[in-house]
Amino acid sequence: MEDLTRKMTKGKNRKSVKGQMRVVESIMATLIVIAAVTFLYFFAATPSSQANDTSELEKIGHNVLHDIDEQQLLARYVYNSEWANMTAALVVSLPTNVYFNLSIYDINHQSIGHPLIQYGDQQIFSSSSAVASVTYIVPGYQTNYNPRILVLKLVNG
Amino acid sequence: MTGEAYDHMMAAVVLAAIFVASVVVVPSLSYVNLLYLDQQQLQNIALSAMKTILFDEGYPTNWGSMHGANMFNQSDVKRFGLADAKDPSLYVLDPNKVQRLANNPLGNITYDRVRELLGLSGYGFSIIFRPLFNVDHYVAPPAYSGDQKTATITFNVNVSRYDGQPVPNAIVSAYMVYVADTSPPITHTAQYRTMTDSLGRCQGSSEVSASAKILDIVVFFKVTVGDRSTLVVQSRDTQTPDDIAKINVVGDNIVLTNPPIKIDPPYPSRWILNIQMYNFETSINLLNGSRTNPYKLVYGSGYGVWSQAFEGLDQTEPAILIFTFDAVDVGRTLILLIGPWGLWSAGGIVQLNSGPVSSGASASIQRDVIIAGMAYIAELRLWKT
Repeated sequence: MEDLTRKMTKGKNRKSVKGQMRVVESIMATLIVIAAVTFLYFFAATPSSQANDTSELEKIGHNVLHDIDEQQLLARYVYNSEWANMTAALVVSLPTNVYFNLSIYDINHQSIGHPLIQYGDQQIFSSSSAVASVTYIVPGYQTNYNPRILVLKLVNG
Repeated sequence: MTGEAYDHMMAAVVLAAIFVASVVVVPSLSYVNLLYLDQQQLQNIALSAMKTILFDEGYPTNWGSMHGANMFNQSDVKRFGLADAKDPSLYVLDPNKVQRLANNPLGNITYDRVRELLGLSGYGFSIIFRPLFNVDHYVAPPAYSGDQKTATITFNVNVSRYDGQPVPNAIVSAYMVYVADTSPPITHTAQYRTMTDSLGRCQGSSEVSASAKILDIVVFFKVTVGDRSTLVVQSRDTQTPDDIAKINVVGDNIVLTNPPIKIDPPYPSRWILNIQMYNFETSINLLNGSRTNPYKLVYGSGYGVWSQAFEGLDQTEPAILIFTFDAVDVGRTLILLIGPWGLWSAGGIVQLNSGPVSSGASASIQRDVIIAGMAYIAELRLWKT
């Protein structure tokens, strides 16, 4: 009788161990799957954030300079040294959250010496990794050929 | 036996819990990426749509004015685009096409038709054209002097960016147009120029002759920042001028139609006394009318629409057209104003469809465009439906 009871208990224990092992196996299998997914997640090529994408800012910068030029204002600002007008025109034309910094060079890439043409906190230009730069050339004013190179830097504020 | 069942049940519960947790956690881990991906897809589609809207002339290339003074039929538009076929420059739009986006008594293109032509099924979008900056204004009623010989018109203007920041040093030019009660009524203009302070505010007043009673006054403002200007029209009339006539300019044609009926019959007649074209520096008389049938506008009876072609009007791109009406039967003699090509009907804003109704991902693209020689901001918003 005792033997029979011992055998039954052993059988139960064996089955119980089997069940526990299944739980452990399940957990291990799940962990392996999660580890694999996590591994893939870290190594998958992820799209870049819009915050780091400068192509849209470049398009906006070129668009604004082009339109100011189209209205025959850009050359007048540059050659008549209308820096305040140029700053004001850029401020109202660019989206409200975009900061800018404009530098003007001659054909030899020497700065022509103008006051600061900028808007917004300029520290963001050194701290941000997403600074867009647009180069725009103004060939001259009226009949004078005397090219100027405009470099407009833009960043989301 | 019972213990084994418990073990299996336990295993099933643990597995289910892990499965549910995985289903919840894994997507949320990559949610940011999915959001970027979704946003980027929308951005690319919006860029492509914006390129078509701004750089394509559409087909027929003159679709905005192809029906002249007749009713516009949107099914005749085979391809959508707003670029000006007469100007090869980028970002220059045809005002005749832009005005077809707004509610127009001569017919407009609907949102659904534009969506179909742009191939944006499955997406919602809105297009808005607005001036470069915001101009709030107030014009006080004219204050007459003690001897009633002069009247002073006072105005306040506040110029700001769309985020509320004031725009200092903006040049504000106010043009005051008024009709004196003479026979026939005479239209006068007066100008005042001032500049906004550091808070973007300015005030001005102008004294005008009131030897004959002033019947009506309209003031319009041209606000210039760095020589990039925006135009705002202000009517001083107590009633909206729109109840006299709806004004349209299509190509070289000026077309007047009756506004929606708000009054009971018998419907009063209105006559065009004068049309002037105003370009800030110069004013050109386009038409002298009279209280006779060729200049009459009334509901039904063959006078429901008035139109006349003015050669070269399309090329001239007038900033403002000033109409003087004899609307005595309506209760007043009145000046009516219209800006270039109906763009001023709602404070210079033209909008096709409103923004997204849900709060899901949407892409927004903004460009600086030129319409009738003036700078505007064009904004496209795109979202999934």
